[in-house]
Amino acid sequence: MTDTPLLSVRNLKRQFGKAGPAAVEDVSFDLAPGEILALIGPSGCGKTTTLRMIAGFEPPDHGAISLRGRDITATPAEKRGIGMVFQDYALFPHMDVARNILFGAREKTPQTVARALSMVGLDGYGSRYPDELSGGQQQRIALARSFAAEPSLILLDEPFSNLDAALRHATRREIRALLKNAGIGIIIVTHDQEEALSFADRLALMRDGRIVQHGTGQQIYDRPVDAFVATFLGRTNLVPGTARGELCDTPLGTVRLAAPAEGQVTLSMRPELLELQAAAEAGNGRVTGVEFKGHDMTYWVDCAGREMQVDVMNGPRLGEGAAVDLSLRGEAVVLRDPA
Amino acid sequence: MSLNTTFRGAGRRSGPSVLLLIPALLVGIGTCLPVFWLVMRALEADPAELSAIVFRQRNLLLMLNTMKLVAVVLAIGTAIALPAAWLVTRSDLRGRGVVSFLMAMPLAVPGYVMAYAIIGMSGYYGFAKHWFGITLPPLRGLWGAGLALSLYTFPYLFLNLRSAFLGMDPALEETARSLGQSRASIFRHVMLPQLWPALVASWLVVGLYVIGDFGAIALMRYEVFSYAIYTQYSGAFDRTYAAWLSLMLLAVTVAALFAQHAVTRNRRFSRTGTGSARKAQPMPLGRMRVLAWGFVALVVIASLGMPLLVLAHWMRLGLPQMDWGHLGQTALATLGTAGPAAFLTVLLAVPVVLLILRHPGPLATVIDRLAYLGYATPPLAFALAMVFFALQAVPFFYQSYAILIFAYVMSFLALAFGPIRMGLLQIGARQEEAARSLGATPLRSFASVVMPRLRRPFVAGGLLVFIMVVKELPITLILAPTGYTTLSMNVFGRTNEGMMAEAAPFALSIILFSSLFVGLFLKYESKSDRQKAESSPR
Repeated sequence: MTDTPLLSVRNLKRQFGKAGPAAVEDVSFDLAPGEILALIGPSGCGKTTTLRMIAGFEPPDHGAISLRGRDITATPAEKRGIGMVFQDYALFPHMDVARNILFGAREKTPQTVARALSMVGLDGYGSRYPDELSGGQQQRIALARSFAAEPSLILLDEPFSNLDAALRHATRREIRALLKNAGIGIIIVTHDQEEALSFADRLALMRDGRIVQHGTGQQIYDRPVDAFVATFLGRTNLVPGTARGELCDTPLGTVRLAAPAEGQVTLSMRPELLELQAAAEAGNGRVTGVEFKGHDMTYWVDCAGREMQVDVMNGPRLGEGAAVDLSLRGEAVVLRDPA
Repeated sequence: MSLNTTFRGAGRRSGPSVLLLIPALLVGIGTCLPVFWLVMRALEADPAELSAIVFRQRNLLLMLNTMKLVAVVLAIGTAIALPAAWLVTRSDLRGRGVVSFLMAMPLAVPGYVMAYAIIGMSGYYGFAKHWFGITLPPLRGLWGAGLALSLYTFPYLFLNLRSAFLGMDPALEETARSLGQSRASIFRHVMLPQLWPALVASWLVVGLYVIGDFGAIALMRYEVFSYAIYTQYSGAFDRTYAAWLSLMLLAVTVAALFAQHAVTRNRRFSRTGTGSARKAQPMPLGRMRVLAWGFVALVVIASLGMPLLVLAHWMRLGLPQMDWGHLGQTALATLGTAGPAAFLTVLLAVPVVLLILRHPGPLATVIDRLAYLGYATPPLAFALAMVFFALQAVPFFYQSYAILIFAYVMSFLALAFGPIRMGLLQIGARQEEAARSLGATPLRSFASVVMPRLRRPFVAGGLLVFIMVVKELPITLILAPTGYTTLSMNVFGRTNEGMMAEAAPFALSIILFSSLFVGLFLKYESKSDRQKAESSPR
């Protein structure tokens, strides 16, 4: 990387209280201009604390944050030029929409309000008060308010969690398009894996205050580093095996590995990479459950005492109790031992 | 990349701003001043004199009298409040809302006005003789003071017991009944243990008040600590002894505060798990209904009817010579100090509450406790300490409005905390953070986002303090600048000299103002109840 990243976070640490584990430990990443990064993980993993340190509401115990190559670790929140959209939007209830938008705007003109409102598709809403708006509208006004302050980076803290499912999908797509056009950096915090995969360019998966894996959605989905990542992002089968170089002996037979390894290992096999065939004799598995989901089916297969999930698009329709041959298409991923 | 692991600026907590620290420091110093100056003054005595003062037999008598008074007030108060609270929460008595309101109303009649009314009943021109032809023996001393104070303070007990009854799970009583227990046995074994924490906690609140009261006991000429302090100070001018007595009074107060802290902490534990209880099935009173109404009527007549009728009687007698101009001037003079005191108190309370809420830690806890200590410090001891302080440290402030208002602010600060704390909690920190992420400085964020929405709590807190200052007697009496008189000073001074008719209009004015206090109190009481209900299921 030769360009200076928009945001650079190095070795952030934050500990609440003297005893106990740190809320955030040794977190580092870069964000390019115009990029969307999702911080994702189960609740309590430190993602919101990380966001609040970047925003300047929480001082790090350790580490550095720089924006466009300038160290802002000790800069107060209001001087950072980083916008933040809160989970509950935090619109000022005693101000109308126009005054909310103008609050942080560089140019306090009616044009600023009009431009901000048309950007989020709410033209003419300037004189409304926040309590007269629906959840989705409030959410968009909160974004418009952040935009009007012309930040170089916007932080979104679970921005869609207060919207119902139908509204959530539509709003998410709209806002992604909007942000991509504006070309500013975005960090979004979420615990919803589907949201992270569809919204962000890159993901950083956090657990116990640390970033466990970092990369594009595809990279992480295809090559999870450990069982936590493999199960948090999508469904998977965890299978033990004995590795010898590029091959590995498993209850399914010998499979190819994505990367060479030796000895006892745990493998991740995504359900859609497994194949089922009706066995003539006793195969290596037996169907114990069938879940018909329309365009595909999920089979639950008992394979040497281990329950495996198999997603089948258009294979043979098999009933419960059927003997099957289970095999892997493609490569299995060797998972790191849990620390 | 130039940026390696740097530690510049990291690890530094942005502590509370100076704008919050200075007010907090002021509160800390202001509330500690009394103790400091009382000790300073007390230590001026030479060692020989000292043991004579501390081990004087009279001290024991004062202590005993104080305890007797507390016992009488609590006994009468509980005898009124407990059945009344039961009636409005558990029985099928009609008009329970109105009864509740009437039982809270006596808070509007301050102890010294109640004492005035009791004194005004008897005597040749008294209410009883004039209207009923009965010559009542004057009720003074322990029983007079006890009655005046219990009629004024029983509403505190009532309100606490009422919410304890409301918070009690009726399923427990029903279970006990299904197990064949009698009503009396259920009360003793099931209800009383649950009421106990609320009862003890409110006994301590009322006890604290009785220990610190001055007006009623002085009018009733009952010798307890505060009366002795006042006579020492105003008559005998033995200020060293007055300082020692004040310290003893303060020690009793602090002991009661510790007890209260322990009890309320336990109460929190014992109440968990009650959850959202069903409403209790009202118990039919049957033939006891007449008795219940008789009881309610007696209490209302004694606590509200009697003072109002006695006041009306003396007003009528005094009306021909009524000096409206003087009354108006006094009212204005009272408002003249109550207004600024209330405004300054709220102004000081906002940064201090902000510090307590936003920067929790040892400092915040200490300041919070100290503010409460300032409120609980017996006002007479507080005022006396202020006199010593003014005379020795800032003589040009002695007998000035500045000292008077300073004393008001320090002793009523904790009162303003309630509404402001609730307001700030409701607003939360999110809005301010949003404002800062939009580029506003912390000060501008607070001013534009929080302040406008803090107006109502600001006014409510100010009103609470304002009305308390209007009712206030001992601090005003001792610290008032020469020539300055208030409504309460007039009630006290004239009643003390037996000028009942002249005192009546002033007393009525105070009741008028105090009714406002009760209105506010009830409003906040119900609001906090709702909050409790919202947070209890979790």
